[in-house]
Amino acid sequence: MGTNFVPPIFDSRDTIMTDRSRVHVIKRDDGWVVKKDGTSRATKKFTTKEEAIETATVYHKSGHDLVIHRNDGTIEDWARFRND
Amino acid sequence: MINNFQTNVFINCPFDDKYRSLLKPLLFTIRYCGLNPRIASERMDSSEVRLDKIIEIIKECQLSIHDLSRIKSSQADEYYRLNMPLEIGLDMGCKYFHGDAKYADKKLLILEGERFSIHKALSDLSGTDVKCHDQEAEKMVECVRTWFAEIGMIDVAGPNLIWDDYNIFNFALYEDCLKRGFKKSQIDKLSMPEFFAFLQNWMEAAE
Repeated sequence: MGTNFVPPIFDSRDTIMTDRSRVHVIKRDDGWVVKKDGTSRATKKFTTKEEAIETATVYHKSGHDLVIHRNDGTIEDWARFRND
Repeated sequence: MINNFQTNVFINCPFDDKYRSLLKPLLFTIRYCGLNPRIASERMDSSEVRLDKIIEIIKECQLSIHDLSRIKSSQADEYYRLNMPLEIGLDMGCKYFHGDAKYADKKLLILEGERFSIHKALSDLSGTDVKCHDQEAEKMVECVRTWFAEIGMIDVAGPNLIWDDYNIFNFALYEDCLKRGFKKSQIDKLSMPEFFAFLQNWMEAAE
């Protein structure tokens, strides 16, 4: 376990699926950060969740799924990228 | 994952819905750091006597984490909770009085939700290792990994990395549950055996 750790995603048969590109909005101390899957470092820290979502939305529009986490790490929302 | 005395961690904590947001990062951090969390609800067998199961787990674990943050009653006429103080007493009794010398090496972490609250309720524990998670999941990760480092696991990952991976793990669990026919509202209430099975699979795939 360490930096650049890319987690596997399981389907119901426990087979490993191809990882899609995602960007996460994650609580950090008294602020929020944006972190892409497979990267060791998050972006700069934002004071509010809204600011972090705003930055993450830029990544979302360029082809990433957007995953917004709650304070406790669970999932608040997941917006899949659709190439319309 | 090797399951033995040195790597087993007994968890003494509440198992109600309100505590789930702290129990899940606690389980994750222990497993992430290469250890094996053991809790009384790890299997659902109604024929087992709960206290017998707890004593069996205590005897199988060198490390233990006792979260005493919820022993205080929160409203009028609510009983205070004595299971956790009872179980820390059993664990300390095993450490200090068991005839087998290996139990003298048991190491205990005590968690509280409000700084210095333990010493108001259990002043006999003054001088023991107490950490405060402030009822926050992120702080829980930091408390537990810091304690592992303090007792000699100097190569454990940093708190931010574990916390970020816990968030990413939650997404993997969320996506898997949606595929298996759970509603969003049911995912956070996933049974502990199901949660733990997914955690084991996820970690084994990463190791």
